[in-house]
Amino acid sequence: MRSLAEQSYYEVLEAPLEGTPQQIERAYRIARATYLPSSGATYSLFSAEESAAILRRIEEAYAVLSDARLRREYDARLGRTEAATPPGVRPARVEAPKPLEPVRERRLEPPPRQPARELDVENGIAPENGVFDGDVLRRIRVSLGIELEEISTITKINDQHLRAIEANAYDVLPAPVYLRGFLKQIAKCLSLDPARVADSYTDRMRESAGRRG
Amino acid sequence: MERVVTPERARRLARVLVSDVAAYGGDQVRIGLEKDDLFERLAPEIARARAFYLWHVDESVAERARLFDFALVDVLVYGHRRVQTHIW
Repeated sequence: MRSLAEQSYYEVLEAPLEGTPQQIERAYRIARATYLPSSGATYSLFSAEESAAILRRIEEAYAVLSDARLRREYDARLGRTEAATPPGVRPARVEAPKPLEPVRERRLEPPPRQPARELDVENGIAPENGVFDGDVLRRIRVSLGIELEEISTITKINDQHLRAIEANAYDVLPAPVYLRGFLKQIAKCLSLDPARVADSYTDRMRESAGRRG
Repeated sequence: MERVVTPERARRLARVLVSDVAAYGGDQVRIGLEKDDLFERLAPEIARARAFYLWHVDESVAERARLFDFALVDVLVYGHRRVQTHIW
């Protein structure tokens, strides 16, 4: 993530490049509320100096983007419009703003809360006794710095299934044939042996089912 | 797990841990923002994630505790900024 000073005004406010004045206004209000020292959302996570610096940048961004003329000029500097650049004049090279990260929209049907087992603070990523269960897969994923959402994006596996696999929630897992496919895809993302992971996980699942009769 | 000694990896670990808090919390982030009690509501999960983070991130990493706090705000608050709540 780039520093605040390196981000474009649109990125600072997390506003769409083609945003209407109303969208800019709303983005400004949200950004400002997030970082106000009195914000219930951030509590005292930031020092007064940090909050002030962030808020200054937010105000600066809003001052430009909320003024039609200033915004046009700023857009031209970003290389978004050609009108402001006289013919034959090479526009100043400005780094094009990166696309905003996708927003996690509110789900219409929220998934049930699925408590994962706590991460074992001291354990490494090596699977105990060569066993790959949900806990081990999760520890490996975290160790590699990979978010669950990234696995979901890469593999197209529903995030509820991913959580169920990591939580060893055998009762809500998909049918074995699908599960093996999912496990192999997850293993590939984690640079593990797909067949070994699938075998180990499903063995554990069968053992668990056997114990429960 | 290999000891984390660079800010970039620390930042990444913090983000993964906090996004797990959100993912496994179901609807708790949305409810916490709506009721303005997000950090109390998820306090045990956040405390566990923070403990894991501090255990694995070397003390030599500049502002390691703050990197985790930034991830909390970035993922739990800013990442859910579309939630309709009076705190915005």
